[in-house]
Amino acid sequence: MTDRRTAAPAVALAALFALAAPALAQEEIVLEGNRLYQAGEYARALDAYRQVAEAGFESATLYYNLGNAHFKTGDLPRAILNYERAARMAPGAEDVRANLDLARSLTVDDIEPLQDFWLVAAVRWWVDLVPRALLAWTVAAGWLLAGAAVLGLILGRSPGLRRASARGGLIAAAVVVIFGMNLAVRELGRGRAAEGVILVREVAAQSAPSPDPNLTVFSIHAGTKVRLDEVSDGWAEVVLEDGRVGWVPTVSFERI
Amino acid sequence: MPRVRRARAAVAALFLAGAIPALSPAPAAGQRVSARTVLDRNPVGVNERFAVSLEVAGVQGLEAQPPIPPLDAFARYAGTSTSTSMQVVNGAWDVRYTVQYNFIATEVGEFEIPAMEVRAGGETVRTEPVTLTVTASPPAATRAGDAGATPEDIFLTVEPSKRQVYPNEPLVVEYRIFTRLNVESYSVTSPPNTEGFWAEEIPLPDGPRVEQRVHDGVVYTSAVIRRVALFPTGPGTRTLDPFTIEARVRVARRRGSLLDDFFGGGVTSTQSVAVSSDPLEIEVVELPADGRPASFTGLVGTLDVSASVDRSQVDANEAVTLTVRVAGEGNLRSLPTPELDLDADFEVFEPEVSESLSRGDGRVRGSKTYSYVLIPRAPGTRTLPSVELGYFDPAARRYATAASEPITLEVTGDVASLPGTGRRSGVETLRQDIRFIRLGNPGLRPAHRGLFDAPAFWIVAFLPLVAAAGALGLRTHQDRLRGDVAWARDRRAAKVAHQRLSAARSMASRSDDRDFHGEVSRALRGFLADKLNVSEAGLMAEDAARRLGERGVPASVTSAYLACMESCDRQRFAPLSGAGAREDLLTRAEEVLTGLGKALGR
Repeated sequence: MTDRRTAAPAVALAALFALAAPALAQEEIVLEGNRLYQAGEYARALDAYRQVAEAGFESATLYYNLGNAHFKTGDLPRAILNYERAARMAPGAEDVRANLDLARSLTVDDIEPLQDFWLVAAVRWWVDLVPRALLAWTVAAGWLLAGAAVLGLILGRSPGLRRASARGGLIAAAVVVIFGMNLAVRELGRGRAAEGVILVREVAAQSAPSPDPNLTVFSIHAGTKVRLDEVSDGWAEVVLEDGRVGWVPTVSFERI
Repeated sequence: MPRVRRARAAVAALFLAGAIPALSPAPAAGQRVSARTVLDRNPVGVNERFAVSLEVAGVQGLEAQPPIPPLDAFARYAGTSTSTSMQVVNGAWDVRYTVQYNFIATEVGEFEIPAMEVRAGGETVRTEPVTLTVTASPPAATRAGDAGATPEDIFLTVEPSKRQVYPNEPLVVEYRIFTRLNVESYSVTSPPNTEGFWAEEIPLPDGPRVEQRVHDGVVYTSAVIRRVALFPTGPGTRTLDPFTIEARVRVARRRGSLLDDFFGGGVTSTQSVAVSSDPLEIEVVELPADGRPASFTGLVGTLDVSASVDRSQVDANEAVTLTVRVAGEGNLRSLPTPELDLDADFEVFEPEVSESLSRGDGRVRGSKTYSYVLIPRAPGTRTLPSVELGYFDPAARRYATAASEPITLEVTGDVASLPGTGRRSGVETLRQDIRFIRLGNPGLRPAHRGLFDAPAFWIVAFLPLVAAAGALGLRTHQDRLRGDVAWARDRRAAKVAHQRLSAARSMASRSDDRDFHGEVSRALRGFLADKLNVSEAGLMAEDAARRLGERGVPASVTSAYLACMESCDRQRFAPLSGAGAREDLLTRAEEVLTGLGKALGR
């Protein structure tokens, strides 16, 4: 019993270090990219950031810097795509929001977004409120505390200890339920629609997944963010921020 | 299920990660890059606009903008626009990038638009040369001579107020139509470019005023159709392009029948006629260099300046309005704001400017009023210096300066009550740019690795469950030990017995025989009493044998137990044996314990 208790965190630590080692090497590349960006060599900075992203690493900072490098090299739609990714990972980041707004203001399509139902907006605000790492640690701490309280309840002899355990356990359980749901929504992507950014200069949106020119309902341009309702067979049903719906080929956008 | 989907998505994303840059221009893939030159109309009339489009199929953009087609021989360049289209044609993507060059035809004849070469999609493509025909008049409109309308019947004249001017000196140009035909309407097809001039259209208040005029001994119906004030921006000889209108005139049909003639004028029809004025040359003479005053404003004409304040006495820190009125002739609109040469303890705000300009009779005149709000910060008798404005008088051909009278202002009040004199201003945004990258530790983690992929998550998740299960087992055990004496004794029996045997073994090496045998005997009897849950003291040999028999313990084990007990009792009271016998007894006792444990075990 005692052996297992000490062994579990040790295994976890070992696993973390195993992941951290390649990340450290990639971090160097990102820092080199930052130096290049600072020196005004945006294209080379872009290459550095992309190399890290393609090696399978991500972070809000990486996506933000990548977006900036795309912006400086004139690739507005990809800048928007990466700002959106950064905003997903760090919804509260103000710099990301500012640059995203500036980049969006330069796109062709000026779409008036629909007003969200206040409850939906409130839930979205709540889900995005706490940064992911803090959320995960909060839930983990709450879970472990709840477990400790259960141990106290089972093994405790004195009524005082049992009462304190019960009270603490309830609070810890409430924390786990509230923040755990938040974390689950964030991790599973449930209740959060898939979105994409149009990367081609102009694409015709069809009323059905067919290339028939008689079915074109509107056309959208590079940098416009769309919600993806259904994706099948090379076509995606996209919803604009103003609620209009059309089908575009999946090659015309990239998922956020 | 979400985990499975996530994992699949992660694999797919990793697989695609390398392919993403290659994927995005995919619509163009499969379509061959080709280019062609397209004309929006052919033939075109002179002075008409036409577009030469370079259409490149299969790409969304060019590697370099191609040069503008060199059509100077017969056309004037009028701008470029580009567009991209993406369509699905017969189920395949059709991507086109089009550069449209707009021109205005200037010469009549057949011309070749040369082949264009462009680099796109990694290859160089060429267009075929195209022939363009420029006709003397727009194809839609009939030439003036064709319908019986000769240039003597309808023409435009251009009349400048003067042909030699100084830069910035106003010049009024009138375009007048002369006609002997019935003009129903007209429209301007090409307003002449006014390069080298600042142009201001002078509105015709009631539309063109029609009058009778004699030209070359012939009476014409005539009207001014355009009046424009021009201000030359620099010296040199400038040419104003012809002004062209398309007039719709009503003409009689040639083959009208006798009856038509008889019943008044016969059948008529309207026809379009393009009419152009002659080009106009204006000579702009440079202003003389010597005698130019320091306060020269660039105005050519005449000027008069006056200044006034709304009150002659004012408290310190209170506002007073200084009004500067400039009246005169010339391009007053471009007159710069007069600089006030005031003491440093006057605070001056940007003036409010109002102007009233009139343009008529070939002259441009008016007045401009600047209202300055001044706040004197220090008391005393102050003088507002005169406002000087230099100008060039074209009639006298010399520079002159207009100046207002100095104004005396009495400022009353206390020096001590001065607020801070430093002027505050907001932070000005010079240009808009994205915010800078974040330089710190990027905090990378493997992409597409959710929380549930981390071993730490599962460890944290299961740790309390395992601990709780363990605690529950422990608690159950403790509770039974407390509540069920028989069970507790049974559980403890072997442990206690072995402890006693160990104690006995440690005594074996010592000489005290009695204690050794007493300990072995207690171990065996105690074990049996615990197992059977009876009092240790009352467990005599016969009683033990009976109870063991009831519990179905084999006779061999029972007899071994009894033999052990007996030898212990005997040795306790007649200690004779040596170390070998003690070892032998311990071994036998352990065998008895094992046998009893097996036989009585649950």
